[in-house]
Amino acid sequence: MSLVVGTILWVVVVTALVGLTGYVLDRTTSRREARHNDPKD
Amino acid sequence: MDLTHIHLLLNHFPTIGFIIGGGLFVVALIAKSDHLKVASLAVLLGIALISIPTYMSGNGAQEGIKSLPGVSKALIEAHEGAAFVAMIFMLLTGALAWLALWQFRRLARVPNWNLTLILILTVVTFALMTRASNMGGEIRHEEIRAVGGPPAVAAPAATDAPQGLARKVGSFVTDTPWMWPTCETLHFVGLSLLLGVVLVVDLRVLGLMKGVSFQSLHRLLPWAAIGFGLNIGTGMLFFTGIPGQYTKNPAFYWKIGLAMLAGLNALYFTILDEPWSLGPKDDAPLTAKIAAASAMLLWLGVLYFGSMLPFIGNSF
Repeated sequence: MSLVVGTILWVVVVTALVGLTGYVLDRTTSRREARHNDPKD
Repeated sequence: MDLTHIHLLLNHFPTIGFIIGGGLFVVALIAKSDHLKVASLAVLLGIALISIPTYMSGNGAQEGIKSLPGVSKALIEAHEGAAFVAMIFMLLTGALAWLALWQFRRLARVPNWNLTLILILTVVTFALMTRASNMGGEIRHEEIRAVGGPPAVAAPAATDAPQGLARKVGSFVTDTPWMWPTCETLHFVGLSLLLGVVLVVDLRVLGLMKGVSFQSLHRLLPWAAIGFGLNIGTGMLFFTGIPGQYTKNPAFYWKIGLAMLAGLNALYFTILDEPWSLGPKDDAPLTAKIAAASAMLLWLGVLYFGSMLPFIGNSF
């Protein structure tokens, strides 16, 4: 794998994984938080 | 005092500290005590942070003893590889422990999936750390090998080929053309995530953007933690690639020392009541402002010494 292709590929893959992890964490915690603060519960 | 002394001083912390942190965690689960859970998670996180300088100082210690009579290069590299794996698992445990502390602050409880993962990782990490410690002891203590049976690794092979996972990963980092620039780019991505969130949170505590509550900004902390994790991961790859470039560099000691302190400083903003209760228009108490200002100074120091690595110490 060449320098340019390898660098771009892995930076994109890892950055996408980082973004996905942060997004999933934020959404799941928000949902749990909403349930936790729901006065009906 | 050199890195051999520091390694001998630090290398007991991961094993013994993990027994204390892991033991407290199990007791907390059995007793269903939230306070004990928070305390044990903080200990596990602290021990995970200490495992980084412990591993790194081991490379300096290696330089100090590898030419001594009766010291096996194969045993050293096997110990290094075992410690590398144990450190990865310990850092994963520490990352989940931090996440649990953050979740506890937001939800008043830690989700069961995370508690289960931490428990499994604690057991696995403890086994890996014990193995690495035993192999480390065998380097200089023949009596352990004699009493305890055969050595944990085979007798030294007459070869210069890298042995142990850490050396193989190190060779991959330095021999693969795209690996180092990729890690450099990701190191800056992590840095941007981390400092972006740290600055916003700390500036609010110091009195800017008073209309925003701390609870709103607390939600951003996982992004900073992910950035920190990315930096630890890529930083460890740099270190594993060319350890001598770092262990002989005073700027690197400062960088790691300040990063450890900044990591502990983040606990204040993650779990304590004082910043959490800061609502819109509220002025932060003095202790919170001191914590925020010190966080900014610590990260500025990490940035400075990171940038100065090629210029101080002449080891690049």
